[in-house]
Amino acid sequence: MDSDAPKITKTDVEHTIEHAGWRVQTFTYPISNAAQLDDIQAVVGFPLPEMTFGANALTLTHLASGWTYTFDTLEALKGVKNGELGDGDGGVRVGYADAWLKSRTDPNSNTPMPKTVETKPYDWTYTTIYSGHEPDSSTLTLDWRPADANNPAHTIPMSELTRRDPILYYAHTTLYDDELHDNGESSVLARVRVMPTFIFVLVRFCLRVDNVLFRVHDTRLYHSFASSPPLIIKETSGWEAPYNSVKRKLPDKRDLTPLTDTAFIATSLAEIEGSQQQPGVTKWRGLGTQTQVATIPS
Amino acid sequence: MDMNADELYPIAILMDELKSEDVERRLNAIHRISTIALALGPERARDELIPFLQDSVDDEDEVLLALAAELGQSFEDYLGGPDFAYLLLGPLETLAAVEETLVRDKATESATKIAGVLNQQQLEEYFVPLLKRLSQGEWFTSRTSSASLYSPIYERVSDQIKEEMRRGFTALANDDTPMVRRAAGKWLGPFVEKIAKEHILTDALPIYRKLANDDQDSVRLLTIQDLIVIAKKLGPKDTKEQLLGQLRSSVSDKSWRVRYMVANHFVELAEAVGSEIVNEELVVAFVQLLKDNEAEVRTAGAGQIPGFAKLVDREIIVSKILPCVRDLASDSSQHVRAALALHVTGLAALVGKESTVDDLLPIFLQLLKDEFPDVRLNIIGKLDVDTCQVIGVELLSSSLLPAIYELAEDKQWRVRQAIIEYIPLLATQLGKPFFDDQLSALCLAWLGDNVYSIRESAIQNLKKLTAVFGEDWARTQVLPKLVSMGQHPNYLFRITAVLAIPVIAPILSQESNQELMAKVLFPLMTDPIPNIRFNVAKSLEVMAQQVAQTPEGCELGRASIIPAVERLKNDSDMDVRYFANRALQKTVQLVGA
Amino acid sequence: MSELDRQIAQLKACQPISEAEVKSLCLKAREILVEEANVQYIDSPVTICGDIHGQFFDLLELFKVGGWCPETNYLFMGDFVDRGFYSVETFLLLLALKVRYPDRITLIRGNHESRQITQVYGFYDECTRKYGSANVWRYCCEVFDYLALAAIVDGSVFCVHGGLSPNVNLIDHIRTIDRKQEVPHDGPMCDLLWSDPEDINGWGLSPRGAGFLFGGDAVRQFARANDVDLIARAHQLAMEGFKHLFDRMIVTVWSAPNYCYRCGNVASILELDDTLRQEYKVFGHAPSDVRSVPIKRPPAEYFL
Repeated sequence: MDSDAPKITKTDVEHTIEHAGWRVQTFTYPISNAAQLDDIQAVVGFPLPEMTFGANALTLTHLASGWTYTFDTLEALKGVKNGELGDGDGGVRVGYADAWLKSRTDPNSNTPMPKTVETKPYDWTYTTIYSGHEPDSSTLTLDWRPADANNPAHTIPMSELTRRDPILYYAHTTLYDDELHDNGESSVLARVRVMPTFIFVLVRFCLRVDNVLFRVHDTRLYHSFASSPPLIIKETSGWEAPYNSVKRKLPDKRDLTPLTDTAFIATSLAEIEGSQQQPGVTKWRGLGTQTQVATIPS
Repeated sequence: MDMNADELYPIAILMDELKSEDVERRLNAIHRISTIALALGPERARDELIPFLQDSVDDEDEVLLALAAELGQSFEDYLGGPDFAYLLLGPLETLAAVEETLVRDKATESATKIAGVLNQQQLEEYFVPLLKRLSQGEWFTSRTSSASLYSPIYERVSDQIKEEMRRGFTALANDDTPMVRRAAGKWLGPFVEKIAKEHILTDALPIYRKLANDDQDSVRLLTIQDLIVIAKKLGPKDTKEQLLGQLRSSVSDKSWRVRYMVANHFVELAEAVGSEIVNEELVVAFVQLLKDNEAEVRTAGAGQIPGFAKLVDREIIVSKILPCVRDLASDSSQHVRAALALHVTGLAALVGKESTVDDLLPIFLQLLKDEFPDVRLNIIGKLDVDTCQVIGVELLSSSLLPAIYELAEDKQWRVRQAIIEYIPLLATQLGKPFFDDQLSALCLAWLGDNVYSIRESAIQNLKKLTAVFGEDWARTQVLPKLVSMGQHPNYLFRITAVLAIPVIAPILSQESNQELMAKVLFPLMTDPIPNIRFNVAKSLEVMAQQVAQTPEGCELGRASIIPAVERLKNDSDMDVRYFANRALQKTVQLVGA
Repeated sequence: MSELDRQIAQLKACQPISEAEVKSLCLKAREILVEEANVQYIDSPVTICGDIHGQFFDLLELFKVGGWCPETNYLFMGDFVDRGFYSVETFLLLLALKVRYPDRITLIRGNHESRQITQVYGFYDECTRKYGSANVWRYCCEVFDYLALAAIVDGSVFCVHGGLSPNVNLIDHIRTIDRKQEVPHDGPMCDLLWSDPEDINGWGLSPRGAGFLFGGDAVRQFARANDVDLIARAHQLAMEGFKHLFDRMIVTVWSAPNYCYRCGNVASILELDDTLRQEYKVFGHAPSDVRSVPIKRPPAEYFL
């Protein structure tokens, strides 16, 4: 009999499991209202994504030690470049920007450029390489170190991940989502599943700029309940590729809807040669894969 | 094209289509296989089509699902009748083993239909071996599928095979894969229905016990329905001897999902086990579930309250169940309170007037004021005639009315609408003098609500109230209101007055209708807002139907309605002209030119 | 009942009409729309609505709150299609009402009423799925090209999908645009459908590299020059259903509650009465028991 049956509670906005000495909590609130948006904007300093789910978060707590790790909207947005974009920021413009500017600056233009004022520079694609953080409520700050490539315990075990064990708890929550004024889409989605033997988190930033590029940044967190002392593996990976390289992967060329499916985008990017290596499309600093590990001291 | 090529044509096309790159085309081809079978004739359908289909079972799930469904739609008719139905089992066996659950379920559903047309000999020759192969399949998918195929044929095979089948099902319940045990849990109930009582004791009970004690809660939760079936078959005495322990442990299972299943099927369970166990065991168990830690369990339990209460004495309802109901009314979960609100009024008739007034009425009132709109909506909808009668007019008015006033101004328009729809019922209970005193003003005020649907409901409400209280009431309460609204500076009031007239005119007297025309419709023919003018035209069309019932009315129609719509026919607005024209035609038809 | 009245009843029940009926409806719509000016003059009272985005059951909710057409006069400020699951039914119902009651309902163009955008954001896909070919999408796109670009109520409330353009100082300038074309990537027609207000002075360039932002000064100047009291626009999501900016000179009206079936926002419509008094009516999404969201395949819970 299952003496340690998971304890699950669920409301419209909060979904929690306590299992194997961990608490996993997912918050799924509506988008923020005007007052909340003003508060967030005051902190980050740039116009916010159209759908900012300011109260959403995914939180893991190790009950015995009180160590807590969180993915939340505010911190994810703090990872977005505020100010003039420079090297490594991966800045892009919309596909028709050159043509548009030309139509306005051409000496014979019927629609000459008006006198314009400086608008606030920021990364309008909301690209973030945020990979979670230890909030103030965490009793511990873990020492993250590079994974040992020769230690099998330091890699996320795909065989265990693909095994169809019963899912004890599954939840997902969107931190923000913006359709870039119909020039594409930028979103951060956090997902978690608690299985009989492990916890697995995937937080994915996914960007499509129509006719320009695709970009993905994944953060994976894995913890096996069997590890002692408790070991956390954190893997972060970034990819980008020109729009057309991904478009070529469409199973049906007429049907563009897979280009709005983050799973299709991520899978396609992973198959494209050079999508993880510099210079990528924009010399974005998020390219490549890094794995770190940390243990919770007893 | 020669004969031979012509004959080959359908199957060649089908093969071509089934090999198409395009899923849509393959899908369409599958949907046409019965047409193709018909074209081929029974013999070639058996010899060529079936083997071909058997080989095609390697496709997208969508296509396989369609194939599994087609084969179950009396497809044997195209093969030469029931004698050849067994041929379909081949492709279905393969489909029953694929990975996608939807396909497997459809395949076993179709196989079950085919079992129905096989005779005993065919069953034993073809179906039973298939069942064995599936039950012992290497891959869990086929074993999962096999569980559903026991009950359809059990009664129709020899005793020896029956025994083998019981052993086969036992093996499924002991399978290493949870998915297979889940399937066994799901299909044990239907299987038990077919098994003789002696074998229930010797075989089914051990299977049930094994599953009910499974270490996966997803298996255990499926056994609640098995328990109900077994208890029904065994009768109260054996149930008590054999199942009591298991019943107790299910009620207090560690997994809330199991307890949820118990709570969700509680009335069914109580009916199956008989009154002795109900009184000795289930009352306590029910109270325990209503106090469960998990909101889902309490929600499910709340839905069972009146049904379970019917099975116990009034004494027990008052002493055991009502205290729980009181707690649930203040439950921290809105879903629990909403479920309670939907069902709690069912207790009124069971506990009688005194207890309804003392115990239930305060709960009703509390739920009517709940902060969550669904709770309010649910309880309003359930305060029916019976409940009102138990409560009585005086109490109804003194206690319920304050809550009604509050809800009449609810922020959620659907709550206001629910209250309006409840008003005619309340009117019949309260009587005219009382109603005029307390509620008339409210009903008229709704005509000025800022949501269109509420204004519309308010109009319907006035019609229903007129039907309850009669024409005189309408003349003193409704007509003056409509007349004053027709003169209101805000156009929304004016148009509401015009929209109300065609609704209530059919139940008013000639005299009242004449008054409404003279005081509301005719003056508004020159309103600056075209929307009002064309609705005047529409209303006049309805008025024509009313007046046309008497010769004097026809005269009135000719003397006043026709000239009015004639004038509107020349309006500057296109829509006014359209509706005036239509009204004119109708009116002339009805009253003559 | 006339054929058109029957089609309206059918569409109100969320049942698409036949391809042949769509074709003839779109032809009739074009005949009516071609007569309309780039800036359509309309009279109060009128109820002004923002983006709908194919949320058909929420559009029904809108009508339940605001009243049905023709009893209530409507102005829809574009973005009828894309993103929601019922763009076909939504646009065809509005179009059928337009053909049946041309003086009671005004439709102006949003940036989603475009061939290019609808190919990416769902309307094209939905048309081919529901009709088996792209014909219906083509008929509708031809209608899009004829939609008016703006409207003005009683000469003093200017209504447009996106916002102002630096090349349009006077409303009369809009009249010179040849609107019967796909939404261009630049120029005043593009700006009217795409631009956004922002807390700046005058005009700014969007950080995206194309398109304009306009500030309070630009709004005040436009209002003064054209003797306009209020600018109503849509185009941007507002959690509260509407949002005032620049001393209530401009308002964003958003009419798609629980946008994309997941934002949890409320929607609103703006009722202007015969004295141009503004009343914002806020409403939530349709109750979940109606067929507002089709059953989708469960999410991939075994993600990697």
